[in-house]
Amino acid sequence: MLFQGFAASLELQNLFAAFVGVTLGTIAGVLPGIGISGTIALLLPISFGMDTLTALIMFSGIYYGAMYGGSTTSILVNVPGEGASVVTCLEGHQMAKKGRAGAALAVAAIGSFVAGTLGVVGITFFAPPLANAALAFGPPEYFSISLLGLVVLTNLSGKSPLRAFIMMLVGLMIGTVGIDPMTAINRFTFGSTQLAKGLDFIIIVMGLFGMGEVIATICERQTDIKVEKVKFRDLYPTITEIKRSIMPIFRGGFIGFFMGLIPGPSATISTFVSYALEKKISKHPEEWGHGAIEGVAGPESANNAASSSQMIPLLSLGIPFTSSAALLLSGFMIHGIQPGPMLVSSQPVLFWGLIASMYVGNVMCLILNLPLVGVFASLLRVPLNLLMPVVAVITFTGAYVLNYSLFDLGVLFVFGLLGYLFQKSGFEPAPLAIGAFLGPQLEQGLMQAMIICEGSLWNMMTRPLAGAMLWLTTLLVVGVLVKTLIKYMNSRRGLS
Amino acid sequence: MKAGRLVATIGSVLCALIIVTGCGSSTPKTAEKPKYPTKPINIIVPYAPGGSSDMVARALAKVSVKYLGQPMVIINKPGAAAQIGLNELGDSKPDGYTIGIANSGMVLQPLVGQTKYNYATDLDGVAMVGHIPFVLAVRTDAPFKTIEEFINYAKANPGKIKYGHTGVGNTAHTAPEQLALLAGVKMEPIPYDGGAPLITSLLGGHIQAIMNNPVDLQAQVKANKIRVLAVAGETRIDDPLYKDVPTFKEKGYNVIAILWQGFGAPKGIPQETLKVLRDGFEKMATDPETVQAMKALGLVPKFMNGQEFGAYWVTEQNSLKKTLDETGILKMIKEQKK
Repeated sequence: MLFQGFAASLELQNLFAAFVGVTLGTIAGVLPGIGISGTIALLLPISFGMDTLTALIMFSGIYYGAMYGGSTTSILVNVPGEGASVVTCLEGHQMAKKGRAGAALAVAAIGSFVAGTLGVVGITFFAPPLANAALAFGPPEYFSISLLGLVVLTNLSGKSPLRAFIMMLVGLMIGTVGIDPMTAINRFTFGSTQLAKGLDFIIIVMGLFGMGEVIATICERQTDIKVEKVKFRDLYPTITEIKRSIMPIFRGGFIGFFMGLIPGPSATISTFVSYALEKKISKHPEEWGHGAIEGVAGPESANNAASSSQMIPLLSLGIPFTSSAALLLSGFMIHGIQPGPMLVSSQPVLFWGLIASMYVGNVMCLILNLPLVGVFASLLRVPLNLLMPVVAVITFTGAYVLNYSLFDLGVLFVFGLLGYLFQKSGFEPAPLAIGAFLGPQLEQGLMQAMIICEGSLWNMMTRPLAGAMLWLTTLLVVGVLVKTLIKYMNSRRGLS
Repeated sequence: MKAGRLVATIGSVLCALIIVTGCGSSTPKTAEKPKYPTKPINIIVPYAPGGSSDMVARALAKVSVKYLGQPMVIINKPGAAAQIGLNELGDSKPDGYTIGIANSGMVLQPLVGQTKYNYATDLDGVAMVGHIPFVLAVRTDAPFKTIEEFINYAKANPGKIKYGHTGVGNTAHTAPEQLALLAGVKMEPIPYDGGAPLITSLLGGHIQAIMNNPVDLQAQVKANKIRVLAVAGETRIDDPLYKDVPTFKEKGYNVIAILWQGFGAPKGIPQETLKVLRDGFEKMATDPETVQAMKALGLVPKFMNGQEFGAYWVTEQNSLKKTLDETGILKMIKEQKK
């Protein structure tokens, strides 16, 4: 069946559609704010005249193409264009500062390709059983995984645990702004309907990282900044860099693939998990925070694999787990195709044609992105006093087009100032971002889980999946406490 | 170095272009109006792209050039149970260049919260384009196969049935509460932040029931994963998939929950402009292509002109208020707000 699909996807018009899709997707990914949703939405009306398969190939191309470009602004100028590339800022931008932007971009593209293709292989062979497995994740499970995530990820940067914890708490608090999902009470909104919808995570991180960087550059003495001349050959990764990236790419791919099956913004969580894992097992711990290539390779692969595997619930259940998948679903529906358990049997050519086009499209993405690496990396040769205003413009534009809200620009600026202050005072913005990201999930998950489990925490801890994660969390917390206690006792003993 | 500058220049020009075009679409300039419309019309969709409202707006936008002579630009302003987008609609200039989706969700918020407007009275109707009754859906392998069995089960196991909804006081919440009240049973509500997680949770067996629009359930019903027990409309749904499902009314429970989709505009649009707009929408809504698209979305195409539609909002709001009072939801919310 897959061969039939390949035959269909290799027709000239479909190849062209895939090319248009991935090109637009890459552009949408590179420009912060202009996400997949906006791009597909724009093209929906144009697609009416197209053949169904052609249109779907184009939409899917945008969908996975965008995952390739997403890391570009994170690496070059510290502006994450979407949740899934926040963590790429941490190492990627440090690499860029060391003149290794090209290497980071290239590794991100290669990782995206490998993981994206792995993801498609997964869809090809395991779609229906995996989709059903995803259903085992209910609210108690979302809550548990968010809690575990919070505990594991808080000290991502690994400098000062106390500071990281404080920042995480602040992030959690920021996450509570808005209407309470259970009782519809306004919290911290000060009567503003703008605040009632809550603070957009991506605006927060664009501010903390991107605007923070811009403000920091303004405040630093300009004479200190020297633009390093980068030779063209240096734009691409060295053999060592490639070697160090191979395993993180595969690990990230697997993490992303399985986490993508969990409803909700799992692509973002998977990047954090991959980062944390790579850091933990790295042979070069001293490099982390100063541009460790594994910290780019792993997360970037994870988010691509996640976006591929998010196609699984979409195609085999007809349920979009993310907003961009929702728009993809709209694209299907408007062409009279209802994805769901019956899709494979009722529309085999269409289904397999689409899958086959994803193999083809991923190759196109790679071919398209590798030459772009050089172009983007040479952008950094532009002196900072010219580059930073452009970055500011891109950030503001990106934040604006997200919701077309001027209020968001204010939020962006405030978080930019905060980001700068944090940088100066040695507080890491990453734990705050994680708190603000996981907070709302955690809160809603807990509310839902408490009702489902008849208000008893014990009921939740005896559910197989949720329980396993909760017990693990408990162990981790107890472990840390005991360790601290022993340390304290030892130091007391040493004193007396 | 030169090359670098060139790239920078090109980059900034591009950025400037994006800014100019990006902002241009959302801040309409004052146009001298010899003949409305002379530029694209913005449609505010107070939901994220991909939802049913969004799709309806896009389906109409597709034929707008044919009937209004100008394209329509969809602007998604999701958030705060559609209040963000609706307030923006209310705030916008009544020049006929900004209109928005007006659907059943909008009559609720003014009743339960402090909204900036009472959308039902502070907006003008443009056209209703379609509607669909909500249905009660359960998993196929649930211990109840009919609405009678469902209610008996709920009676025998108070609080055992947990249903999901997508926001306090919205149809997915009020309709089951109305049923619970009429049938004298107790069911526990669980909030979700959208239709997709809601259905996923039902499929996974984490919740026992939902009241949802049947469109989103089509794939699952066809795959025999979800069973629809009853329809909250005046009549059954024509679709062959649902034509054997009884209405609540037939079974003696007066549960009516209908999702309607249409368009509204800020009050104060000049009469002649409003007329052009309303006439244009009548043609768009009844265009065979739109009708087809709405059917594909699972909506029953039903046109209602702007004036009637505006009046319909008020009747709907009154009957919703009655339901909220009777089910105690309004009281609950008011008490918590104290």
